[in-house]
Amino acid sequence: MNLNPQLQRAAQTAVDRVMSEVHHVKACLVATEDGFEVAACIRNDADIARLSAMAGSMSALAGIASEESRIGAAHNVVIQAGEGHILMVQARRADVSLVLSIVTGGEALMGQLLYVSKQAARGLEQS
Amino acid sequence: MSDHKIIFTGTTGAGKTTAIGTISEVPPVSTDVRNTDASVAKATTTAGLDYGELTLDNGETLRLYGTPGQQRFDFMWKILSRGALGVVILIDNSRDAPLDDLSIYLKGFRQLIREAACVVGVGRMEHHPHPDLEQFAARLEAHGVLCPVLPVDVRDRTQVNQLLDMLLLQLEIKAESPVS
Repeated sequence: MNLNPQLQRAAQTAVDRVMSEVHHVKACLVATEDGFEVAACIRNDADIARLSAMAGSMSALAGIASEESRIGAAHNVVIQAGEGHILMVQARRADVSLVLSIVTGGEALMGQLLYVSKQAARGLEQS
Repeated sequence: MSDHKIIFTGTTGAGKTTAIGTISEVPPVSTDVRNTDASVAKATTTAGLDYGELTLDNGETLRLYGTPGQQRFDFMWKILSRGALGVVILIDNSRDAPLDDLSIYLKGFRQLIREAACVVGVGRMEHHPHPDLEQFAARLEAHGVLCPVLPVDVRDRTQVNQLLDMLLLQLEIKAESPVS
């Protein structure tokens, strides 16, 4: 996989923004839609390569589910688990489509997580 | 009427999406995304799953699920294998090490192959005849798997149906002579 350095810097900026502005984040990463890591920061023992691949699959499945349901393009996927949340936000650029994924503890505020993550994803799209 | 779930797996570019599209009676569902892996000469790749349906002469429906090919998506292999009756493994013989490719899927789907049925289809043999079918059979045997292996052009409906016929035949034989 060959990604240009500017894209990687933009992805790292998005990751850093989420890490600094959202509380209780355990892992944050940007992956290509076909499941390759572009940038990441982890505070737990998450397997970034595996999470990147899962982000690609989840986003693809969300995309086809929303398309088949005729509700437009999917923007994000939210998983609310017993001890935390996972949010996957699409960032569609002209050169490549990306997925910003954030794993948080259960204490994280979903509203704040959604707001900051979508802002970071929009920044990634426009960079 | 009953439904049965069949898995199509195999290497990237072997034709899983095409095979399902060739025989499906419903518009196939595809989760292809742009491929960013320069080592694979494809514009798109499956990140989630493919889906199609086929009705058999006896009225039963086959639900056809295609997996992503890359090993990094092996969690999808496990998810899609649940409840499946059998697996079709598609190999692209123009790749560097088709026999090693086969081993990846024999390991990845070991449990399903043991519990259900398996058939191997080898593509692009007309221009890439080696390894030949005997070598594939030997590799299957080395993994303790006894199943049909045949050349296939996944664009040809008859040939893809032949793979399914071989799979269903195995299931019938298993049903008639269950092994403890």
